[in-house]
Amino acid sequence: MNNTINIALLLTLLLLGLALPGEAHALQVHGEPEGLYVHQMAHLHYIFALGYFFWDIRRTSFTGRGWRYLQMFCVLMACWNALAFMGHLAGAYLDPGALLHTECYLQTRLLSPFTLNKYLYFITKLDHLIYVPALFFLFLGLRSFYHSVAKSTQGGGQ
Amino acid sequence: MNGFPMLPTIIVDIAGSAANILFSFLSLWYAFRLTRLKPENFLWGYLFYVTLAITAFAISRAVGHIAKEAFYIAGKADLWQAIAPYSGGVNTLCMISVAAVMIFYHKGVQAYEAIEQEAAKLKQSKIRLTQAARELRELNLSLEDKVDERTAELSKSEKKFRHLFTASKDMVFFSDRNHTVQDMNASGSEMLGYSRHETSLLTLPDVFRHEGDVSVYAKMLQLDGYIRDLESEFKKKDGSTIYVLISATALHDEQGQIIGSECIAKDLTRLKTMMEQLVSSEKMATVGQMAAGIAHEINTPLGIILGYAQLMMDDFDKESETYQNLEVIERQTQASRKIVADLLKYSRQSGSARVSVDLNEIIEDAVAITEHSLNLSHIKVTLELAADLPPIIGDPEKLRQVVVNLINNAHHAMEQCEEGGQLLLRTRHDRAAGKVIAEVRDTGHGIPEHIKARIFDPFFTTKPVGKGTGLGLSVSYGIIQEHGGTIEIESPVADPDKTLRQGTLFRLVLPMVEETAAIQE
Repeated sequence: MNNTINIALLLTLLLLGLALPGEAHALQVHGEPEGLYVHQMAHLHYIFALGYFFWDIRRTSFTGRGWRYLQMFCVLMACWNALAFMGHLAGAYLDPGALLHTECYLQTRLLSPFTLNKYLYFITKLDHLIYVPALFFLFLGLRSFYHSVAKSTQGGGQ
Repeated sequence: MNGFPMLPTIIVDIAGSAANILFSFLSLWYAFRLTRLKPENFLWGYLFYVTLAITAFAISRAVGHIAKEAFYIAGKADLWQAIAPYSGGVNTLCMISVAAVMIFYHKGVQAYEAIEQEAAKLKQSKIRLTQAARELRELNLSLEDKVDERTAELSKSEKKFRHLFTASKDMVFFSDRNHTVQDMNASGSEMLGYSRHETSLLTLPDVFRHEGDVSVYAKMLQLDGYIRDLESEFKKKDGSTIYVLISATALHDEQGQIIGSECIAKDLTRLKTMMEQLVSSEKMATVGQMAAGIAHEINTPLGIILGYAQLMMDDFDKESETYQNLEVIERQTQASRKIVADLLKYSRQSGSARVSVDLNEIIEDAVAITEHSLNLSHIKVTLELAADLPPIIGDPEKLRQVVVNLINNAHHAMEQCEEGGQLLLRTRHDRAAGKVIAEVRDTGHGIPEHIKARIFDPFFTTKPVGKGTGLGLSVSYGIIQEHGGTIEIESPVADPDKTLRQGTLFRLVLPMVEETAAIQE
């Protein structure tokens, strides 16, 4: 009898709790800078992953041109990540007035005086100069793998 | 206006983004083709997913950048501001994905290496198994070859020894531990007079004449394991004896226990007979020489005694006692001279004629001489003389004497029979052997086995004292031998149907003319 009363009491309290939440703060609010932080952390994560990948290729002692291209990809891509990370920081700290916007977007200028942050901002905007070679090495590596496998397959087939 | 144009960064951004798309797609294309080439290879599969993630990231980034530059150039910066968070989010998501996939590389490779190691082990095992199977197959083939080779060798050897066993002219047999004959060759069966089937039922006591010999045989095998040149006697099916020289070897099982024996028996009967004949010949030759000497010495005084006795007989009245005494002296002297003459004949000191002789005539003459006395003893004489009997070369007188001797012997053997007896004289021609055969057969008491070997000995006789000198058969033997022939005896006599009948048969075997001529030469 006492058990039945206790169970009924607990269920009543649970229903009241769900119906009247009040200031519970169950969900955390994500502010604006969080996106940048996540992105920056993703860059760091990417650098770590590339380093790990690079180390693992060396560890497994895979030889051949393809693996060397792949290692070059890792190095260049890690460099690009570092550059991008700095570029994002430079962009975040750049005064909005440092860029002169005109009618034509292509005529946008970075105004003096030039600070380290401005130089950094400008240079990191040219990140594709690293990113493209990185992908080019990835392409070379995979092409090299493909040709060597195709050659060995043909050789085996013969 | 102080400042630095951002146009280079815009150009690099647009061109770089386009190059990114191009290279990422090319990379993905090769990664995809790799997986097509080696679908089972983990590494290429993994690289495909890495490249896919990198491509996704590169495209999201490049498309975002190109879109941004396009919107800004088009003066729609506010529109880009609305899209930018989504583009950046996707971009970040893709970057995290790329990083995550790359981090899994280590574990993936570890798994791949483990799989590769296992696969290598399996491959090695397979290679070893294949090699073992090949070796086993080769061994099997080699074994089959060896088995075939050994089987052929065994077959050849078996054939060889089987031929030795079957073709041997000596008796070869195998017996078990119970002395049962397991196998006997054809020569053995023939020697004992049994059929091949009957020999399988024989035991050694059935084969050995004397039971004690079986014990000796077994004991020698037990002691030495073999027997070399054991002289023994075997019992034929018809009860007669053959003399054999035995060589045998014991057969052992794995524990060294005797399980039987293999025996080779050489028939010595013929050799033994020849040896006995040789001994007899030597004996008779010695006796003959002695007898000849004595006869020669006695002959002269006997002639003088006879001469004087006959001279003195002329001086006395026939009715006088002295005359009768002289008659006894003359008769006994003549008897003595006959003995001496026989001795001389036996020793072949007397001369012999060499003319063509018809054996039928000789027999008829001999029968004519003895017929009267045979009739008195109620002995029926039957002649079966071959019509086409070829002549022989010899001394008719001596041959006649031989036949008369044989008839007299037959007469003596049958005269004790109450109902008389039957005397059969038969001649025949053995063309194949080139012999002329004369047989004298009686139905008398026969010759006991133990004296058969002695009947041709000089002075051997079974007749009462005064009735026989023991020289008749000796002389006959000498005469027939002189003619190149032989005398054979059968007692009891075997009929053509193999029935044994009481009596004695003397068979004179003499060579035909051509052969006789050769002997004379």
